[in-house]
Amino acid sequence: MNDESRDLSRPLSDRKISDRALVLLLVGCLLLTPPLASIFQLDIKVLGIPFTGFYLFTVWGGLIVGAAMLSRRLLNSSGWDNAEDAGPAEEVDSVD
Amino acid sequence: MLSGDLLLGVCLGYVALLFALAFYVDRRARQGHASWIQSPVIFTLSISVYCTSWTFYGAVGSAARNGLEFITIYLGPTLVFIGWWWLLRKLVRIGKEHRITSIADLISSRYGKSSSIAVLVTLMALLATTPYIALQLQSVTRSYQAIVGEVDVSLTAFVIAAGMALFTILFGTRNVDANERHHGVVAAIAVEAVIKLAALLAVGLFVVFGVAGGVGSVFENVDTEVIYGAGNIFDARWVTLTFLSATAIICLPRQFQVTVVENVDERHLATASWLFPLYLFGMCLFVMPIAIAGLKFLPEGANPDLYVLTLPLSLGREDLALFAFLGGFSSATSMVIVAAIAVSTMVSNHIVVPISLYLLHGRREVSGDVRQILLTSRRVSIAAVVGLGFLYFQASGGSDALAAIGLIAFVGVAQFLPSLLGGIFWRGATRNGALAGLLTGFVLWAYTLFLPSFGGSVILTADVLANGLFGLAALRPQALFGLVDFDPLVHAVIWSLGANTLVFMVVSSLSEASPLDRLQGALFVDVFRNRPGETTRFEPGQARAEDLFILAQRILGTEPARRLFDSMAHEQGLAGVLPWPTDAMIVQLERVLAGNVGAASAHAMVARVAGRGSISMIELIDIADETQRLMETSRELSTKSAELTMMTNELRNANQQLRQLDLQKDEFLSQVSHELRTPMTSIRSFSEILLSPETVTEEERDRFMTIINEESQRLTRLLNEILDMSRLDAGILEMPLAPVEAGAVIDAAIDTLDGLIRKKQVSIERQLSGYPVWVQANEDRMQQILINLISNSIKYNTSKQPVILVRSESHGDFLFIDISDNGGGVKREEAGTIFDKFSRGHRSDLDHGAGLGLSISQAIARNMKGDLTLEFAADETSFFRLRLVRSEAPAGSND
Repeated sequence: MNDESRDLSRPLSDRKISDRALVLLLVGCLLLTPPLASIFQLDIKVLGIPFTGFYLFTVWGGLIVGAAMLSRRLLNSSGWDNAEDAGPAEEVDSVD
Repeated sequence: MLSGDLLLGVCLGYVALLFALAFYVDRRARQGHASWIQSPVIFTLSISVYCTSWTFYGAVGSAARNGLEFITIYLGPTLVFIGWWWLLRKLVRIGKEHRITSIADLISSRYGKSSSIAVLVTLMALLATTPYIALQLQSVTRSYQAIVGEVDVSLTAFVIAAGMALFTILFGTRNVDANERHHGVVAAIAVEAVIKLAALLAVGLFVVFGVAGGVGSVFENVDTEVIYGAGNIFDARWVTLTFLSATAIICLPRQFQVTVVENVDERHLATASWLFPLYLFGMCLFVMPIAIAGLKFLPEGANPDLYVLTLPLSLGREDLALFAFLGGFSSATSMVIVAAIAVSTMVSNHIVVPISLYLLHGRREVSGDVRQILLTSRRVSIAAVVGLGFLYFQASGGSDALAAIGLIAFVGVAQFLPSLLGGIFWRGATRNGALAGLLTGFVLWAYTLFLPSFGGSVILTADVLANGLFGLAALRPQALFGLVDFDPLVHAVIWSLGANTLVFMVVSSLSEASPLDRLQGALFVDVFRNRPGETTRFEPGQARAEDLFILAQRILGTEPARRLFDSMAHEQGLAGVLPWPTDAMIVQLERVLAGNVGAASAHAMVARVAGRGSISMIELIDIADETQRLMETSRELSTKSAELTMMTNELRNANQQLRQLDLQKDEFLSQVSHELRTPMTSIRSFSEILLSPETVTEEERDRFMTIINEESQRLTRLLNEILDMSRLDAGILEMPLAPVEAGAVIDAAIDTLDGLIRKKQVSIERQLSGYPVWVQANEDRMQQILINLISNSIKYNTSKQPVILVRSESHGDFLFIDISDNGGGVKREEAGTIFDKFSRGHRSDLDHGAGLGLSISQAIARNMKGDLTLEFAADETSFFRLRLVRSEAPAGSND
């Protein structure tokens, strides 16, 4: 069984969920590290809070909310239930 | 000022509370009421051992010195948990399937269960953890000092260390299975997690709203340099720190312990994926405001690492200071406890146990001695690990150098990362590659970061630090090969981790993996594709179940080992004997043992038992014994099976007889009703005729009356017979036996039939020999039999000149009375059924007998211990033979 057919055997919505989880992780990595993060090092204040701090905590909070929303759906996805047969080991490889 | 006594009292009370909680939860868990402790929230709280006193106090200190940089220490773990689906889930699955006990166990297990890797990783973990524990002791003593004033530092640190060691030994080594959850410890850690978060939040809220007067005013008139640090905050150090903290949350022995080893359900990770980042978020929220407030309100020289404590103290909020102290205390103690469990498991499994087993090799007694060794070694290891931390604290004299140790430890454990990730994502990674990479990283870490941290006082002199080893500028520890543009930490990370990864990959690709290495590699990388226990294969060997059993017994204890082997035998379809040492069975056993002593030790032990080698005489005898026992078992089994077959047959026969009887009963009932109906019908019809007198003549009436009378008598007789029959069948017919003179009874019977004999003109011949003969019988009943037999002979005789012969003869204990006649006899084909109920011979059309007479006679004869049979003489004429038991003449008879 090649990767493609195994991937197709999983419902589209489930693949979408794990894709979203991956995107969330990558976006988090990009937003919290230079060079992207450097753009937000500004000498201004939002609601009396230095902007960079505000930015970091906002991204952080956003990641938490995103993870909370995805966690349940990841649990219920077939990628979890059938982990023994057709787990996302290949997706992990692709992250690497 | 808070008094020392009060603080001591609060501390002791708090510790006592933790002990009580751990004890209670442990006991509840033993009774099987541990479900709430196995919730995802508790799991998440236990992961928060990540927040030690280094982060509780140190985060504010770091924020005061370098601004927002402190946040990187929490962003790394956040990213790792957000990406739980890709890495943590796999680690947890592997940990569960291979019963991993520690990070050293995982790495060594992956690389062919190599014990050298296990030892190396253990030593590295010990080296990185010891200063970290010292740091915790330091922060507790310093915070204590900050509140109380002058104290005996050594004594305070010692008391704390001893208390923590005691707690860990008490609740961390209750079970020999390092794979099992330490419920008491987890409960205490969870409570401490809540306390430290609440304490930090309380101080933060007090500072922002109580002191500064709102969020906006906190940041008023604050230098941007305070917030962003010097220059660009998002520099190489930012990236490095984020990366390091992400690594630490995976590789720190204590984090591996709580996240992977103590995990009871993979699904808990889903909750932790957002709840743990949220916890860290909460921990960080007020760090910057507290740091700024500390810089504003506290005197110039105040230690930023203690702002959390000194800020409320200087502002007169002693209650808050006490709470903060408890928060810091909680952070420190929870770290020490979990780190001690994690590292002591490694030290015990990979260093102490192999050595003790080596020393004990050759002792074969059946006992739980290894189990005891295991527990003892784990306890000693805990004491040793905490003790080392204390000694380190003493030696370093509580210097400020310790403060930097947090990150140094992070870099140290980060050396595990290439081997760990490579091990679970790359099949090509080999043992040699991992070993080389780890060693390289370890040496470079020590040379570029760890040893220089002592400022030239340990091993590396100040001269070496400044001018390089052997005076070579290229070997300057903090500017290796002229790499000078970096912060020392970044420099060390680049060199140690870079070289580590490079060497690991290069050596892996150049070296050949051993079969076990390749096998484990495939199992780890494809953990989501394998079903447990299916693909594994042990190298061919000659394992003997008995030896494996003794081994398991010594490690698990007698009863658990027996249960395990029973279940394995059961799986193989065997019962009551040891399982066959198949590959699958050995692999399964090895995994269970790995949960106790780690994969490398388990493999070494099982391999020693299962491995090839010459067989000694003792072993041959053992094998013979085993065979003998198997044969005996099989013999017993075959005997039992024969017995079973016999019983089945008996049951089948009995069943058949029962059916036959049932059939006979039905037949009997229908016969009875038929027999009763015939006379009843004639009585009824004749009485009906008599009821209309005008149609009947007197003569007819007399004849009908006679018929009715005869039929009534027949009916009565029939009913008597049936009654007799059923009583005989039920065995309730009273039949007292006594010695009876047979000749007299025969005479009496013939006399009774005198009328019939005369009427039919039958001549009776008697051939009675040796009279008087006494038999054991009931006189009336015996007479009844004889009358029945003789009257039958008379009634059914078809001869013109009927002759009946009554002959008697003694044979041994029996007297035979034979009755024959010249009237046709009984045909041979009737012989089988002549005694059945309602059966009549071929001559029965001569009479209206019910066919019960012979049946009753036979039953009576049998009741008198005799019998009534139909015999055939040589000339095929039939006769009835009554057999009776002879007896002594009664006393008083005249012969």
